[in-house]
Amino acid sequence: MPRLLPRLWRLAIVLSGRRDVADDLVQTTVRRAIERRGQFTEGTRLDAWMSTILVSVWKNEKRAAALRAHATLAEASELSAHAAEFDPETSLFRKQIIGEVGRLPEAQRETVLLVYIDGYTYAEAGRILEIPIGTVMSRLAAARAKLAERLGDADRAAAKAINHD
Amino acid sequence: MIEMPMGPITDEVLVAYLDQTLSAAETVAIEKALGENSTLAARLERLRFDEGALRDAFSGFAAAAPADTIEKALRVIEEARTDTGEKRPVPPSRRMVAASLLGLLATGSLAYLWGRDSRPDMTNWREAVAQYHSLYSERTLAGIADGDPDVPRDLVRVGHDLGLEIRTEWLNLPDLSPRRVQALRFHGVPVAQIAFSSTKGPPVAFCIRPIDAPTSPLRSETRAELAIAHWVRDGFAFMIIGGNDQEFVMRRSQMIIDRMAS
Repeated sequence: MPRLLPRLWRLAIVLSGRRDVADDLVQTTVRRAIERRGQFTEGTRLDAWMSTILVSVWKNEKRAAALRAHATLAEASELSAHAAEFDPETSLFRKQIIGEVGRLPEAQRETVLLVYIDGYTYAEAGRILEIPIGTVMSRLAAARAKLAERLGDADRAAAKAINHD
Repeated sequence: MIEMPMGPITDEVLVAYLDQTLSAAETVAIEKALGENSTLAARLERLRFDEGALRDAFSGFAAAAPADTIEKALRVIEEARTDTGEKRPVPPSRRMVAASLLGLLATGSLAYLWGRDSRPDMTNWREAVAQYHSLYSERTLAGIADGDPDVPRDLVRVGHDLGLEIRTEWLNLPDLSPRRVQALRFHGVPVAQIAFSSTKGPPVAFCIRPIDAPTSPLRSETRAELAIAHWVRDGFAFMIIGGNDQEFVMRRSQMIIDRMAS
């Protein structure tokens, strides 16, 4: 379970786009994990189980639901701003990547995060999001097409950008 | 749609190929089809991007997760541990979580739970400096005498590389004695490193590089288990690194900032 809570917080901020909501989500997730510890299956991944709880909290909590309804999800500019806040020297290249992920629809964004950033398998991501593997793959295909198109120039700019990082 | 032994080659199948989740037989079949069909190959290229760059871009989010959140979360864990972990028998199915969550607190394994990504982010100059500085010990500078005449001369030399006059009065810092000046490079960008011996123990380094970034105030962070203070001013990024005392490096950084402003 290395780096579990930072990873959960990253998932929370990518979902919500807001630090205060991300903080609440992580704390609620830990509390739920304690309350539901009898439901944890030995031999399975604790990080995946807690990610499942976090996603469930995000989708079901009243406050989260209100935020979702008001379209205050992670906007590209917000995520990029957070990146700059965390590290003022975050390169334009990184900001562009973060911004493009932020512009993905939530379903694609959460799937990209779980598979390509957190490293879950399709099956694990499907269990966390409570969707079939085929849906995971469809979301990834759609997200890949958008990211590949939008980040095509970014790849070429990477060598230049690294000198400004 | 192109048909394969395992079915049509959809974008989803191509994604699975790019993600290396197909079986060996399926991979061979895909690669054969890609070699024979330029349209399919073009579809594949339209789905390709650098996943490594994606991971790197988001690595800072986990590293920057706020400490107060972990403290609050751990308080919740501690309360639960007090309430349930020690007085009542715990069913076997609960023990895994108890060991994994509550036990982390009990055994003081905070770093395990909260540790930074173990993979150094070498696209960040401060990470590169931190990894380099982590090789320093108290013996590294032991052979170089205090007041080495090379230091003033080397300050002029590396300052010329940077395009910045590094004044010796900046470096007159309590508990620190400048011992060596090095001209380093980070992805082609000059980096000046002034290494100090410290009366407090581990060596400390003051590093400077030109940077295309706006001015930013003094901040602290930890990389490679080393305390760092860093700031950006007038097109240059500065950092002081060494030991594990954040206040020590922050205070000396503020002294340099004050002297630069005077």
